[in-house]
Amino acid sequence: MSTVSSIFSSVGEIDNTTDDARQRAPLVLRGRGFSSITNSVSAIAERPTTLGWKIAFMFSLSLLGMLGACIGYLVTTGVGVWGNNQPVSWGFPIVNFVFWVGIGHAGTLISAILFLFRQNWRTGINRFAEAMTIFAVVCAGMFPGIHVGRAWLAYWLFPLPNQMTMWPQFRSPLLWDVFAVGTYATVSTLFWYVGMIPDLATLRDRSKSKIGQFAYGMFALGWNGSCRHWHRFERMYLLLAALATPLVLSVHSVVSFDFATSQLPGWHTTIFPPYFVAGAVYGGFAMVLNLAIPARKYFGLEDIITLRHIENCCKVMLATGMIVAYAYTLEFWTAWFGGNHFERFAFMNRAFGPYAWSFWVMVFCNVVAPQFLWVKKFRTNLLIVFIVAAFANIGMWFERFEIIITSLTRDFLPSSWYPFKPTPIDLMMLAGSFGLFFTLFLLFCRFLPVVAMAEVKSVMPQAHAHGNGEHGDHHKSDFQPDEHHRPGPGVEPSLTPA
Amino acid sequence: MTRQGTHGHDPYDSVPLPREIRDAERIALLIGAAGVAVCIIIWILGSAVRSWAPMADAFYRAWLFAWLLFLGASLGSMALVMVHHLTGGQWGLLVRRFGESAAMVLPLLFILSIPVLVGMRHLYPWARPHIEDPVVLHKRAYLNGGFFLIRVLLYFAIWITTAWLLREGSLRHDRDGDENVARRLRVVSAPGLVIYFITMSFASVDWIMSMEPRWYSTVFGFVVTMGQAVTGLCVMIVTLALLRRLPPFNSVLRRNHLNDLGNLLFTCVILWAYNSFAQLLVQWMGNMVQDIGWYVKRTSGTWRVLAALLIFLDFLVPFVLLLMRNFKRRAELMLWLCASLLIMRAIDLFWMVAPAGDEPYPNFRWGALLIGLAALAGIGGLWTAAYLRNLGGHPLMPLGDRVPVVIEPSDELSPEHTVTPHDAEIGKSSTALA
Repeated sequence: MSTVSSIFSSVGEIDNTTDDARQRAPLVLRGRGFSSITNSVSAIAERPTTLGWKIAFMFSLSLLGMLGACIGYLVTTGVGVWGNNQPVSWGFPIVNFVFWVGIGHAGTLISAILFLFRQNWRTGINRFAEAMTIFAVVCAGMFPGIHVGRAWLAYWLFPLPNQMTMWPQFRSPLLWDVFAVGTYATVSTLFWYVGMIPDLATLRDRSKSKIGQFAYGMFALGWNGSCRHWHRFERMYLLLAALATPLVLSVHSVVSFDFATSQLPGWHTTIFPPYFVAGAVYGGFAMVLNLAIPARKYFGLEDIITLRHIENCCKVMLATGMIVAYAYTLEFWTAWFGGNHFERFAFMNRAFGPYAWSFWVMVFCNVVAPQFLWVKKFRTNLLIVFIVAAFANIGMWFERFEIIITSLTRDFLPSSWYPFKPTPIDLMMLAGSFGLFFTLFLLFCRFLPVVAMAEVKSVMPQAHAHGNGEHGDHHKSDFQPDEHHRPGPGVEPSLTPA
Repeated sequence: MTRQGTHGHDPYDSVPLPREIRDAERIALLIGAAGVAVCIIIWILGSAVRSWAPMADAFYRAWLFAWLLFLGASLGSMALVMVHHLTGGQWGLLVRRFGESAAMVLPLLFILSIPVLVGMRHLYPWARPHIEDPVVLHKRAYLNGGFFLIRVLLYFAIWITTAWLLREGSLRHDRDGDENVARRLRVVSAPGLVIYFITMSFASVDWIMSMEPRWYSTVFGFVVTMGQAVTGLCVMIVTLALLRRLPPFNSVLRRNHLNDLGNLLFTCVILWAYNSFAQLLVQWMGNMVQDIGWYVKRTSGTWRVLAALLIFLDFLVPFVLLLMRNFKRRAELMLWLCASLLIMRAIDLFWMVAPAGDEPYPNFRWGALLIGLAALAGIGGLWTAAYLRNLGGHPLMPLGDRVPVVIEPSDELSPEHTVTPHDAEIGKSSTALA
């Protein structure tokens, strides 16, 4: 228990969340220098496997094994093992698909949009947020693949030329989804990998084992840190960021079109694209917080992933959570205002029908819980942030459940209504998808640099020692770009441990 | 807490507005008065002469559309000022005073909303007597004259209060540089933005959506607010580009600032296009009877030309141009782009407002367009005069936030002003803090 409570304790936390216009708050604390960053981040991948990691990994791996067994059972038996029925032909697999795609949004937002807008705090969390994105997309991509029923024909999702000239329906958002998610997975992986190259080279150079030297060396692509390498690297990173930016909007918009372009009451509504994107960013940042808060303590990264990072993530969650709340409100209001009988019924059914509990869980988690984040005291309290983020993750899953299940179980004709009930396989697959996610994430934490070392260094004051040289600012050259520098009094004069 | 002392010529000194601007204010006032006079004549003729009654209809529509355009300029600017208080960034220091001045035109816009209230029966089907449509009857609980009036009062009370709080706080920050004032401005801005989105969403239902008795769209509030953000930002950039050779901007404005403003404009244009496209795609693919009529009207006959113009000049052309770094960094080019975007905002609102009504295929009437131009001149002239008046009398850039302006030596707009006393001061103040 003591380890659990230490994760959320504020002892030793430095409060760098102040907003003083005259001075930028430091993003790396305790006067850490460049090599100190390198040492503490590389150590995570270099030190012997810890017991805590082993236990977590075994647990995740068991869940993953369960997922594998479920998929085997599904493929050999048929989709009847799920609770899916007519009219609820989408059921849990698509709920999970939308949930996991949504989780992935924070990564692209942090890596691309915050990069283009020069939000320096992103550097502390972008690496593992990007990793999280990719693993979430892996989990998401799995579900449509097995949902098609004959999983061995899943490649028919792609428009492959064939002698029967059979093509998928190009006017269907379901096909656009294949492209959108595929592009997203490709670009996110590229972005993550390209950004990691300098750090992989660091690990290669530090590695003492032959296997490490070979493996890191292979993926570091011969990086030697020359000016020319850095120049090409920065160029490519900027271009990839620009390419990835539209994906933040496009992926979940296309997912929302799966619903909105239909005529089903509760689905056919024009606010779905922006509302889905906002919800995805909200859920994605919640997952970032749920992972970052324990990880920073466990790996000793409190000086790199600081309270300011946590607070900024909370602000993004609050803003996107408010958009989600706005969308819920407007949907209900328009259902009344529009005067469409079926639309009005669909929303009354959501709030007071057989699945009303899921609706109220969603409202509590996504509308009530994030309101705590208006208060700075709560935004900097790790336990409260963790709980609110956990609620947001639960709420976002129930949002998708509620959208899919309530509208499909009761559409136009009461004679074609039918209730939905998940089977144990449904629940085991949902849990198993978390196993897949955490297995990949733990492997990432064990073997790869979890913080973008090179990028964090670029936003430290030491990196700009001579930047303003023209303005007679010679005092800053006191900073030496190594860890032995005297922590200048300007680094944290007003900062006191909270 | 005192500000750093000033050294000789201070680029932020409150300079009385140059003569050109005061002349411009007078000309704007004249144009405005002429436009309003023409509008009044049209209104009198339309109301008095029975056979010219359609002219009264056209007048109200023209007035509504022009009024909405400048309402968007004020509200969009106000929203961007709040965004800047929350996010910071140097771009905002350059244009914040413009935004505050534009937002302070809201009281005038409230007075100019009177014709919309008077002409309710001409504009809105739900305000007419003898309604038979059950859907419209159902909506009467919300859409009725009394409640409509209450809402207009409520919206303007909220907006004017917000604008005043932002303006007052910013000027107070100028005077005493108190950090608490800056904090209070953030505290106003966060809920202020939320409230702006909610009120403007309902306002867009009241003023635009309800012109069509049956149509509804949940994303419409976003479409309108994003259009307003583009309008507000264009007003800011146009003002900045026109004033770029005058102090304090001639020594402060860098190409990087224009780049940031260009990126922000890019974002706003994309968000507007994205929400508009979402609405179009969902309603077009759904092809349901309550939705599709709105687009059928607006893509028939001449309206189709306007729709095409919107796609090209309100999205594709600015999208391509704003991708180019060299374009964004040139004030004179940004000036032209923003001017054309402002015209496109007008066309967008005209496209939404003018064809509304019961006719399934309304004709494009050139007369209505001419009356629209008169209303545009009238409201636009008065708005511009009030805006320029608000700009005068106070420093053109906020003084309280001066320090974080970081000078980037490699990137001057006007090299002859490389080092001002202010620059030296920044160097000193940051080392003093270090």
